[in-house]
Amino acid sequence: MNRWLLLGIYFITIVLPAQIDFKLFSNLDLAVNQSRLDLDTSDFKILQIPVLGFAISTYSNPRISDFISIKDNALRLNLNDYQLNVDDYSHHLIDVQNNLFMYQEKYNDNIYSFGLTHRIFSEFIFSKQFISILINGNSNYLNETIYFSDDCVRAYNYFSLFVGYSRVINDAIQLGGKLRLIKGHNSFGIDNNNSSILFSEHFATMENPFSMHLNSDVNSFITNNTSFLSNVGIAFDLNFSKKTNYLNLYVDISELGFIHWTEDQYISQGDFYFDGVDYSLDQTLSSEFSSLYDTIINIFDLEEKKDIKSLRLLPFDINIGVNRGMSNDVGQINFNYNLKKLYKGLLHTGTISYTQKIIEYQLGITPMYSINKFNYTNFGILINKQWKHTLYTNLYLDNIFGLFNNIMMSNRFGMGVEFFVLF
Amino acid sequence: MSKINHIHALFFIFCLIFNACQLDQIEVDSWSPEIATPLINATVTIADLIPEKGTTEYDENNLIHLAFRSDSIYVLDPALMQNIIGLNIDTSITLEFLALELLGEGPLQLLGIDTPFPDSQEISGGLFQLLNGVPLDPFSFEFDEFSNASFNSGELEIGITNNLPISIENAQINITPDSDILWEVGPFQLEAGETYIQSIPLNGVVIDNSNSLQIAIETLELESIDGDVSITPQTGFEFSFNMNNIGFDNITLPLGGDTVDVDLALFEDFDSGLELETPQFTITVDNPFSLSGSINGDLLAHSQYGAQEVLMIDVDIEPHTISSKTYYNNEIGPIIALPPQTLEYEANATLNFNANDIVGNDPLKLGVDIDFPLSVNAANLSLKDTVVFTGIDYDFTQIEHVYLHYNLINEFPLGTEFNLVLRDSVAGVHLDTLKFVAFNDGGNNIINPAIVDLFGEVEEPTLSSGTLILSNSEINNFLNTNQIIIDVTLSSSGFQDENQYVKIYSHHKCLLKAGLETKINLD
Repeated sequence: MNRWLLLGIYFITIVLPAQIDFKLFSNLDLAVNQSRLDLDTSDFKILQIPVLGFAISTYSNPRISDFISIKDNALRLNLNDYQLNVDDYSHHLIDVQNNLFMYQEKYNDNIYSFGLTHRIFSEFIFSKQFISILINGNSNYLNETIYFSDDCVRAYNYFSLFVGYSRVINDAIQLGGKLRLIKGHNSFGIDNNNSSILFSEHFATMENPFSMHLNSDVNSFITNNTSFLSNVGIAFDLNFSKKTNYLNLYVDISELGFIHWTEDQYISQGDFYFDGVDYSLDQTLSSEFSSLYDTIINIFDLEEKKDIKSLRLLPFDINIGVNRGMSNDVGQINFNYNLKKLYKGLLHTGTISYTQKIIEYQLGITPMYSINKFNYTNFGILINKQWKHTLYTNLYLDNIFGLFNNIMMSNRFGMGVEFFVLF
Repeated sequence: MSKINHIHALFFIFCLIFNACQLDQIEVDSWSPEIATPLINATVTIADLIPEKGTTEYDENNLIHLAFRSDSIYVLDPALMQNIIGLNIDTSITLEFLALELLGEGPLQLLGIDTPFPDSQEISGGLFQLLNGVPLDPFSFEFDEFSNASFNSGELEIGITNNLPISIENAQINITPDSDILWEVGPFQLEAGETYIQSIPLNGVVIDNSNSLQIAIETLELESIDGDVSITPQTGFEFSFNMNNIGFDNITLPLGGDTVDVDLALFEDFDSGLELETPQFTITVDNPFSLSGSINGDLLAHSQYGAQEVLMIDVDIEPHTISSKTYYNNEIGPIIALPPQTLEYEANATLNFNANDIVGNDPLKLGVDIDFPLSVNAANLSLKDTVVFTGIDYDFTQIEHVYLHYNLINEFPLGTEFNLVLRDSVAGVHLDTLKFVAFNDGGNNIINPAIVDLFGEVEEPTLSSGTLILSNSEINNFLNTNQIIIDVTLSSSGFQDENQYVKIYSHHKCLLKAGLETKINLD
């Protein structure tokens, strides 16, 4: 009973916003070799404690502290600061991975694994002009056509049941992979293709002082079928590593695959010119505005397509890196290049880290520095601890300098935790 | 025990954390979008302001007229004409009247005569001797069939009946229908109950401005009797005047006076001084008879402020024709300038006819035809229309400012003052008035009239642009109004040529094209 209570308190505290101030974070979005435990030769069995493993990774441009603050126990969203800190686009990415269960066994040179994961991935991209219009209004954009072609939203929620196999060849090469059976639960997306809007001013003319020309080309989709056999997909994880005397080269590919979603798709394509409600005194004013509303609805009527099968790629990751052990055998330097598929484009991240093992404490500490377009000075730390030969924990905290400046408010936030039991 | 303490401690920590770590709310700062949007293109036509109803008519070109047509504002019935031709007037002079005139009530009581006369009473016959030789004041009676007449034929038959209980031994009566005419009737003798009849030729008789007959008893000698006689209230003399086969060279019939039942509501919106270019006021006479003559009279126009103008009417009447006379600007201009609220007439018919001319049952009808096209000058016209407006339920404190940009395209050929009156019809109060002051109007809100040609036709609309900056109170009033009164005042004061007439068509319009620029604080 006590354990469940403690577990409950732990989870509650970890998700409460103010608890963030306690700086209790870790991350498993590791920019090191996928072999998380440095166990190369001995046979072992590892059981991840169910539910307790998760990783949260967020990217935000502009950084969250630029427009969100907490004051007087209220979350303050400053939209003006938000739009001021957007260069061309705002970009927000949230990736939550829950390792619900995992079992791994090494027998001789073979490593078998299976498990269940859950992932929520969402991405928001808004153009500066779109944000500016939303926040500042359109007064600054008179007589200027604004295009919204690159605004988009994506969100996926899916479960992954995997089985994996790796083989160690000659104690030097490890080659393996996982087959993932995917069950999509929800998906949602909006694409603003070639929409545009033009507000014009016509002061001192025979026209209305303002006019609006709106051209919409928006489509969206949302999953409507959550039955067990719908929204299924498949993905593969592939990993390869080769070990030499001092170096360990590796390539990991994770979640390279797709989901075959069943979606309702909505398309709005309309062209609407509006220069005021035409009204004469023999008409009813409210009726004319209602008529305008109906006209707009008709023009931008959503074309609905039900139960459309759509194949969508998963946001896969590719890691390429090298580890070099130090001569004292307790240190290791790591170089990693990560490529993450985003909805539009790829996110490239370079990381350099150093792992220091402290044998007497059965502790491994890996400080890291990484760089990508969101953050040039991202320092993180991974702490690996073995507890009495059976319990292993991985704690990870990204953007550690954010500790001193409210890490959640920066443009990079990552944390994760894992608990393993070693047989 | 230690377990329980541990649970308590954890529970306390849980509660503490759960309550302490919640964010009270999410606040949005610095969200004040400034929005510019087209709002409305409102078209106000003259037809909206001057609808076609009642006496307001649009012609085939949509030119607005005040038009009224009635062919029978006065009807001269043939029965009335027949009555004149066969005029029969009966009147009487009672003994009671004569006795009271001569003696008075007191002496009559002393003589044993009850007054007023009962149905019957006995008096001494000798008392009638008192009437012999006594000068009696002439008396007269009036008739209203005509006042002036010039007879060219016919005769007047005058009958005098003795209703006294005694005989008249000698009498002569002078009848004066006009100061220059004297008809002597008698001398005659009449037994009680007998009638004396005398005919007087009317050819050449002229009665000028008189509608009464004066009767003077020149000589009266009554029978002398003893003893009592019975008298009644009817005891006296009875006169009858019968005209036979008469013809008139000229007779003036009073047609009386009345209000012309014409709706002049159109003029209510105009100020005084209105000038119309081509107004017409036509009097028509539909004469089914063979008579001729003329109708003369006055048309009295009253303004709502009590001013009055008169149009003198003179229309010839031709036999069996519809004759008319039209009055134009130089004659009815003063009436239009009032402008009139009511019209009244007072008229007489001067006719020439004889008995054979009045045949049939159709009446002689007097009609009017009013046609006032609105080709105007010096016009100041105030027009209103009401728009039902559903108030907007919005917290106006969130609105930082509201600018109403407008382009007013004025096709009205008159200088236009365009105001919106915000009204709360429930409370019955005007909340505010929004005046549209253009950039180029020097601070007033008179919009220049449309450009017109020499004939007063609109050639090109004019444009006025401006920005209405709504104050907080105006915004609040706008949100709370439930009626918007469109108050349009048209004025010719903006014309360069003061003699310029302009034509007002129903299709003339004024377009209010408005766009809204507002800043809303959504924090």
